[in-house]
Amino acid sequence: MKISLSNIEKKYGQSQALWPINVELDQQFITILGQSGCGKTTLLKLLAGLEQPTKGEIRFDDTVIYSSASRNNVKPNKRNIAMVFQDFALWPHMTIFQNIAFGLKGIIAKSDIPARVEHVMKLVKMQGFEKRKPGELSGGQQQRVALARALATNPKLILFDEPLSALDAVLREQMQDEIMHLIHELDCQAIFVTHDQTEAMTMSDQIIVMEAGRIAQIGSPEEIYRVPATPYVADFIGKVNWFHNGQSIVRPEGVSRIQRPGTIEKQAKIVKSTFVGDRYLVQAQVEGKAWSFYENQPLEHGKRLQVFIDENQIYQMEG
Amino acid sequence: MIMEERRAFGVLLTIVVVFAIAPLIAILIYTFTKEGQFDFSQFSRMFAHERLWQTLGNSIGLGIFVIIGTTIIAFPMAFIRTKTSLNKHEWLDIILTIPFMTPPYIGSMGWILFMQHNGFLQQLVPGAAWLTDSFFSLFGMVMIMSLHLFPFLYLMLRNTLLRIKGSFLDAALIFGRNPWRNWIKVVLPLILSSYVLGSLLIFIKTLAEFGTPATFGSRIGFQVFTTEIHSYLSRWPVDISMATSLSLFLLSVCLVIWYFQNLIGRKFTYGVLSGKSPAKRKVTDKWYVRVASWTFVGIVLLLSIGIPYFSIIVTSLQKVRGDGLHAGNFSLASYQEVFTGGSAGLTAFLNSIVFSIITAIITAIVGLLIALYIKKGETKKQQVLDFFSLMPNIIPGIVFVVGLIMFWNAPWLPATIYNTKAMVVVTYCVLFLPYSVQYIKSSFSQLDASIFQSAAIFGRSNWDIYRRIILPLLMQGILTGMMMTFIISMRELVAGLLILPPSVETGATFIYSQFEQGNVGVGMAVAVITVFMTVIFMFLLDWLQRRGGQANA
Repeated sequence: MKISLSNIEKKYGQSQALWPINVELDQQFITILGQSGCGKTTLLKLLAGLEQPTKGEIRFDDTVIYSSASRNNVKPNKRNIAMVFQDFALWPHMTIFQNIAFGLKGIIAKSDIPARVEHVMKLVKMQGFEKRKPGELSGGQQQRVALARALATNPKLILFDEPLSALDAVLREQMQDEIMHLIHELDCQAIFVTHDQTEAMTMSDQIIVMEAGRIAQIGSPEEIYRVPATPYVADFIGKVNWFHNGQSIVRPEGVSRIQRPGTIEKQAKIVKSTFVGDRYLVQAQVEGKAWSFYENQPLEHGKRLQVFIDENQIYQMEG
Repeated sequence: MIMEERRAFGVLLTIVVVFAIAPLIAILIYTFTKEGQFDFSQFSRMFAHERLWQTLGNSIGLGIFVIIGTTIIAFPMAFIRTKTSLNKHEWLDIILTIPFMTPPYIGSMGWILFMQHNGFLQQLVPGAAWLTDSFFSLFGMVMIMSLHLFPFLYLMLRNTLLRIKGSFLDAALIFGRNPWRNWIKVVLPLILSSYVLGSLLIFIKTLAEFGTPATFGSRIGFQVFTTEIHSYLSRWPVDISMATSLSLFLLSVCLVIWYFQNLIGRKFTYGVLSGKSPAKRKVTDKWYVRVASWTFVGIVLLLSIGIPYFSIIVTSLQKVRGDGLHAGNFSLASYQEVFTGGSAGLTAFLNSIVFSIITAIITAIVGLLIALYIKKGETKKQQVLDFFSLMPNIIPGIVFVVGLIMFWNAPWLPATIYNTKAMVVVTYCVLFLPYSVQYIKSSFSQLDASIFQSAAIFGRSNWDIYRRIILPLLMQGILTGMMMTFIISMRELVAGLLILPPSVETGATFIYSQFEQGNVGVGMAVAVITVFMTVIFMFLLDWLQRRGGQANA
């Protein structure tokens, strides 16, 4: 499905939460990445229909979902989408079964509901919990149920609003895997909001980086990493070393102490070395800028030495 | 601590026991003993009376109807104030609490003046005379009491609706099939527990209410517990044991309801509320929703404030009541009479002010000490004190008043304050201590533990810590509690009627007796002054709380 936004903007009173946005999204797993307050959740809520854009038009394929010009606004429950919330949002007075069945009423025959609930509970590996109430489950289990509820209606698109931020690191990685797996297997699309760049890099086919209510860049994880569109994106995704008066960048893996053909030499003064598990992250001063690169051995503080930049890994920033 | 922990508990507990628990024990002893022997006959005598069952039926029926009445007003109002474009009009909330703050007997007097034969309604719309008879019935009484009590339920529902986690409703919007089903299956169950709690409190408040049954109920011959207790104590032949038996019975009914309320509160409360209210969305309504909402708000304001206030103000300004509404019939004569030095009205009003100020100061000091001791109520002792000091909230005021009379009349007391003005202040303090404790406790609970820890490290002495850090931080709660105590002391009626020494009157008893004697002009002038003072204090309170809110943020 192709999701098109044209001139979508959102104001809260006088403050501009989103500046006019024009994008077409057709990848399967799309991430909206940005710091808190950048408008990423607002954008998601506009897509869900929970908030109304101040202006613009949203289409799913050729169907107009929202248009300020023709005053067209399809209700959230008619957009054939589902959503997984940051705080799970399982209704506390209903059992797990009732929570999942709630969205199914009127979509499939009443007699088919138990089978469908069982099916999605199996997908998220939560069989047997149907009679419990949300309060009796752990955070991770609740998020699985929330995912099951989203999958149950066979939506074309599932919206994820920072769904993993309430979980601990181990559980989070496990859920990342399972969500990716399910989305690809079930052949639906996902738009996933996160502030965690690693999460965005590992999960997505397409990343939208947002900054202060504007889209800074759209691209595959590789593009965003190698060819950042703005200094903000370069700094936000991974580590970056600046030189040539802020016109060129190189990632830490493009810097080494070994001289090879096609490298540029720089003078570095070591600040500190930090053990990061498989190697050392070395922080150094190069031309007055803070640099970082990886080494197999720790380097002594205050030591001066030469580092070499692989010319192929240099990217010239525009402007 | 200023005082040693154990001694502090002893002192505070003694104060609470002597002033709040002893009266209840006095009721028990008086009811169940006769000449030093255990005797059940006085209590069982009550059940033999046909009239008791009628009183019980009346009280409970009234309670149920008032729950229905307040629901009809409060529910749509809470919905309108949270879900329609009216959600941005914060000023409506303070206007909507005016009916609750208006003394109930003044509200019902306003309604009586408006609806009675030759009342304002018949003068304005002569064709509406037939309404009079249907109004002076249980229906009218339920309506007046509902219009007085609805703000309480409204505020509870509104706060719940505002603070339900936004994502619960968003999830319903996405997964639900239609708005009605979302309401019935998701929103209503989530606010149910707060509604049940609110309506049970309404029930207790209705049972405890004296003002409206005394003014309006007496005209339609509708007796309830409070008016029966009052009449056994004040009309010939005085029957004290009937009064204490009835008090005990009323107390039991309230305790049973309170027990259920706790049970329900524990069982059906989910973590549905988020700490902060979710960001307000700009709501755009269809025009008919907006028109209907404003109409509803307008009608409620007209009925709950407009009509009673119109009646009392106009009555206080009329020269001759029978002459009706025309330009020549207005003067400030009633006010002149009130403000003549030494007039009965002025004396009564000033009495009220003095009693209320003393009460406010005493409850603030005792309340502060209790709140400082209770802290967050973690130990058993703290919880015991917390429970005792909040008890007057559950127990109808008239029961305490009867108990205090019994206790301070006990023959073994070496000295008594009964029949002195001190008795009035003691009674007010017992009745209104919970307000002060609650306000101070709530501003105490907003203080972070780190404040006390840093004070303990940097403070020079305990006294210094209290004077320089804790007291200033609690000041807003203390002041709010004092103002609230002042407002409700000013309007207290039944305590005044039963315990005032001969020839001493308060504003409330003055208004009541003037109205009963048909001399309404002067009475209503005092009522108008009381009511306007209350309203001014309410705005001050609101301002104080807003300022406090900003300071904390």
